[in-house]
Amino acid sequence: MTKNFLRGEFIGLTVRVTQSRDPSLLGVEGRIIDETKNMLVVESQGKIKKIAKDIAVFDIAGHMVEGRKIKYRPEERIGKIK
Amino acid sequence: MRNSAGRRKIARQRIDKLFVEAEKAAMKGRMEFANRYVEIARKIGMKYLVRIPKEHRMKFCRKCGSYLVPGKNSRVRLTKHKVVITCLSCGARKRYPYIKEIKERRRFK
Repeated sequence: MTKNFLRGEFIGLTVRVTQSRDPSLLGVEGRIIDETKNMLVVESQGKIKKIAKDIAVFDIAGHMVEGRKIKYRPEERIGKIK
Repeated sequence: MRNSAGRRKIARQRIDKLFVEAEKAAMKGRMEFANRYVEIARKIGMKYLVRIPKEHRMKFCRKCGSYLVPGKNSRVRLTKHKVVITCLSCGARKRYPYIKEIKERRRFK
């Protein structure tokens, strides 16, 4: 179930940064509008923020997601997440 | 490939969702995101051997990949028994014949 969530689409979901090695990113909340291999692009209060995946833990639509586990291109996530 | 049916099911769901998001973005006038969503949807389709569903196939330009909004960046015309969709971003034209419908009409006359 959770694995299939990690394989699903993230664009359009809300995200919150719960843990991060960069303290300025902690608690950033918003809507995912784009995704690359290493970043989530989040629209937060009218501003676009690019958050590195592997330094943070996210809360995506209520699911705890470790950033380093989703370090794949969006179209690769379906096949590569084990 | 392990469990390719499951992967393709997820791929289909994601393609559908991406087109919904692309439409939302295009309605807000954020075409760069709409185009990006189309790009991801097509990449997913190619990678997991899933066709873009019929209802979405006419919504983007096959050549340059932009999301098409009729009246805004695409022109829809009926000529010579074909629907001609012109992409105004790159100029490519795609023709969809509707000869089946015409034949159907003839039969019932």
